[in-house]
Amino acid sequence: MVGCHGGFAAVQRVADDCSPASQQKVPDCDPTSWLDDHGDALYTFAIRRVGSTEVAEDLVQEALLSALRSLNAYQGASSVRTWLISILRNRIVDYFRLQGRRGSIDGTLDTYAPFKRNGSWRRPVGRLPGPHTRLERVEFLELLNRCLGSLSTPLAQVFRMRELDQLEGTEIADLLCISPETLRVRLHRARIYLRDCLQKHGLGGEPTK
Amino acid sequence: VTYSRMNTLKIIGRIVSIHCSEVSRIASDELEQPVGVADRLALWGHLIGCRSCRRFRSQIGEIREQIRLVPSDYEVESRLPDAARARLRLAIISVADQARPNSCDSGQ
Repeated sequence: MVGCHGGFAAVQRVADDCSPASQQKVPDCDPTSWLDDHGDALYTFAIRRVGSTEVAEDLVQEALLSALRSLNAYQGASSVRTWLISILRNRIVDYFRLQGRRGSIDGTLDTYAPFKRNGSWRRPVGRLPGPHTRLERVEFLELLNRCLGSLSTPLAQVFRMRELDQLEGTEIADLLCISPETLRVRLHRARIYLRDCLQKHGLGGEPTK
Repeated sequence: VTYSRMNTLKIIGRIVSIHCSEVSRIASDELEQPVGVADRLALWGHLIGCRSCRRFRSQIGEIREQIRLVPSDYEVESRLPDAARARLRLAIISVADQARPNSCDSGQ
């Protein structure tokens, strides 16, 4: 029998998990159960990074299928979920690269001018009511995601990677093949836009002054 | 003495002439890396007289803080839509069938 974990050492390491007796209880060994066990986690992981539900679905599908094809590469050293997530992460990075290459700098911000010609704020910066409860935090993140959705891809992408993914700036610049300076400019513009969007659609729907 | 007075004048000049657009850039850079002394002084000087920039600076920091407070709670919130789930299941089954000789099932 060839285990789903490949190599001999790996099979030994996970022998308990994958022995025929326990196979029934260990869904990890059965790819068709991945969807039930890890589908939502993968989808959540993807959606928080790419924003679009459609793109997230596609990436999850690609990741699962590529995991299936490379089942033998899985060494059993990490949990199946960790392994699947790492494959998904690679897919997301590929997607970002492609977007970065395609992405023109940006429909939204060219027409979005937060400053007057003399460099002062076009509209005074208002208050942002901060989320306090757990529910408000979740609402806040949902609102932020909606705002990110209306932001142009290159800007939303660097913001996601920096703030949601908490990657280091140098890492992001490397991944996207942009200069650190370009990254800072994009983050700056993204922050201006998002802050404004959060204020406009503030929590509780009350316009804030 | 003249040199340091020149410097002081320069700094004051920068504080007076710096625009909100640039201050907001420095405020954003602050979240990325240490900012140089000249920029920092100009920023602080400007913030004293500019409420909008004060708010901007503290709010982008707060947004970062809030995001870092959410995720562990939030991780389970998104559910793969049923249609996508069904589509994925089909795709997996068809590929898994081809891969079956190598999967755990071969032991059963």
